[in-house]
Amino acid sequence: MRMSVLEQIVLGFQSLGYALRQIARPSLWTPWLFVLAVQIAALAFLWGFAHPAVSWLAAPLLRRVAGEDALHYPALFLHLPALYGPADLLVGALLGAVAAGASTALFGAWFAGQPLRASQGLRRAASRAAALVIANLPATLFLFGFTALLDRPLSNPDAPGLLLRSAPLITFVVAVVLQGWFLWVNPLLMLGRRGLVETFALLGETARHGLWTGLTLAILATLPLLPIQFLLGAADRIVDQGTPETVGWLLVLQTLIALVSAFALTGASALAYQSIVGPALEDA
Amino acid sequence: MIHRALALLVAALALGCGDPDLWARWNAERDLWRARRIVQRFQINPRLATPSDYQEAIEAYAAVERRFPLSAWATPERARHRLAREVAMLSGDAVIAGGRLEEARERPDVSLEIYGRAARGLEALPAMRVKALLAQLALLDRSGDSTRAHTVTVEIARTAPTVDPEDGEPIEVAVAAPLRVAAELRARGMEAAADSALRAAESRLAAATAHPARSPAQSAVLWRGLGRVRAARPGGLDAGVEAVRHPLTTLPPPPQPVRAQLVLTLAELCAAGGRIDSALAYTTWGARFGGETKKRAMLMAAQVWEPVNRDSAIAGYDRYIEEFRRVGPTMPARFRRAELLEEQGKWEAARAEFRSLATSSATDTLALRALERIVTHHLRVGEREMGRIEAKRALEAMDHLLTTVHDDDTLLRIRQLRARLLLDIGGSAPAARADTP
Repeated sequence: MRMSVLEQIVLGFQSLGYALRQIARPSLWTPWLFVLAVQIAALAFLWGFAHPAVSWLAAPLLRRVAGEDALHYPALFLHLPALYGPADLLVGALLGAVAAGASTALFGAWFAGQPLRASQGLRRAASRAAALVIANLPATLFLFGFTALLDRPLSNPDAPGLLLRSAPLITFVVAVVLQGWFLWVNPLLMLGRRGLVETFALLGETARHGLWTGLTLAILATLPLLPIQFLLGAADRIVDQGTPETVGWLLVLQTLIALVSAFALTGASALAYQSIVGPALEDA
Repeated sequence: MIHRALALLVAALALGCGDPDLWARWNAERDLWRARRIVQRFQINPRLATPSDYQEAIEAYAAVERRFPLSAWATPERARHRLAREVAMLSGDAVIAGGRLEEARERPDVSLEIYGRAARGLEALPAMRVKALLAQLALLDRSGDSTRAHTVTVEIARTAPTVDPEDGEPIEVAVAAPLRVAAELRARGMEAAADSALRAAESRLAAATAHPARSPAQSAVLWRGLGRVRAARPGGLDAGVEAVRHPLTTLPPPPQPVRAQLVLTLAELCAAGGRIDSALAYTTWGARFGGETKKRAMLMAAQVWEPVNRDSAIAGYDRYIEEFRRVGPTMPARFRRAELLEEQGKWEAARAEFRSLATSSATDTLALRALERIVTHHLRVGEREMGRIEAKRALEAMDHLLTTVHDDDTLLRIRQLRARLLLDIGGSAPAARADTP
């Protein structure tokens, strides 16, 4: 049975709403807390690079990546978003992928009425860690490659104004499409218990049944991050206004919002998978 | 193996084997930044600044100094390390900034004491120490204390390094201070002492130019300084001109802005030495550089003509005004042209220029002076009634300005001029009233 576009969109909203209602359940949060701890540690490492506890490692690293300027106050805060971005990407690609797998298992079990202990979910994800990392990698790599590709004409001073104005929208659309397309890899691996190759092979089939649900969820999960990203784009003005640390706190806020988004997205994708995509694949 | 690496990492984190000076510099930069932000906040509109605003900013600067005292950070031993030296410089900046705020609070004695303390504390950082001494000198100059100003200038001339040890950039005041000291000593008839001050500066600059690791630009600026110092000595014009010309004839050539500076300096030296033809040749060369150099060169050409041929000088100002009237203010040149016209007895033309100046930018200092010049001319040549009419017209213009201008300095200048005009046309009581808000 195939659902119409409208039904898929409605399912996306309902799944997300249901997942968000589980926000107060600590056991479902456990995998994400590890990610949060590492992200905050990475941010603290960059922010507090000058402290003798970390400066032996952080200062040479910052100098190499961003130049001598980044070692000064308040210039560090101008560089901080660009410095933290790759670190966040790395944590997301490695630890985030495993946490998403564990969270999918925990949500799936919860929605099936057979809740797992957090440690069980983590163990299951750990046993499939390599597959989870590889399965989640293409979305990250494609987006990274696309933004790098887009940066080339944008860094040209003669870049067309239309391209400059529409670049954030283009990036948003591409990010949403990629996330919507690859949304089902974690449920396929953790709930459908598919192999890595089979998971990639089934993505076309999952799109036939749940593309619009995936896109709806991706849009809803990405939207809350946009205002923060917009503000971080004006880091130079924030620093000029005399409150450089605000840039750091905005990054903390962005990390927290991204984490809540990932929590809700994983829960909603698990629920939507169990509702339509999984059964449809079984039928096929 | 992994356990051992982890243990090492944990030990490193716990012990903190990074550089504590980096942490100190970070904190000093942050504290100084915050103090400066407090000042920027009320500098947007200083009229609205309250004493507590100033106190807060002074406290913030003082906190930097307390946390990173010069006595601990600016010692010769610590100044050898880059980060510690930078902490000392930040602390020194904070002390000097605190002094400037005391100046703004009209407490010059406190400022002088602060600058003096900064200079004493920064003995190990000569380039930074010069900043403190320059602040002290500027304050003494403003307050008209020429004796103490001379002492400070001598101190600067004696101790200012020719180049900044941090980046190798020439320090302009290492040339300007000995020149000023020499001029002041000469004015007192102390020729030998003046020459001695210049010789000392010359030997320091000559040693600096001989340093092989300078960039062409840095080297050229040092040669220029050396030329200015040599030219200031009796009979030293040729040697001075030769020194300034030196970087123009060597390879690799200095960058264009520095070459332009060298050519203008040659023009200045020749003009000051009475070599009019050479000075004019250099100004013509300078004008070919275009931009700001062309502007300065053309103005200098007109000034060079002044002592020898007034008509040529006026023609020079004409050319300058015609060339730059659209790209920026030409008021000083127009004012000087009007003065020359007046001196030549061409009063009608001069008055037209003064009147045009007075109306084109009414609150400008020169516009106000132009108003005054019209009145004083008539009074000087005995045209008392004409003077009274012009004075009345000027007073009406100023009354209008007093109701529309809100800037304290401009208001003060208008009131002072008003008082002078009232005195000129004979009225000491109204004049006394005019000088008060």
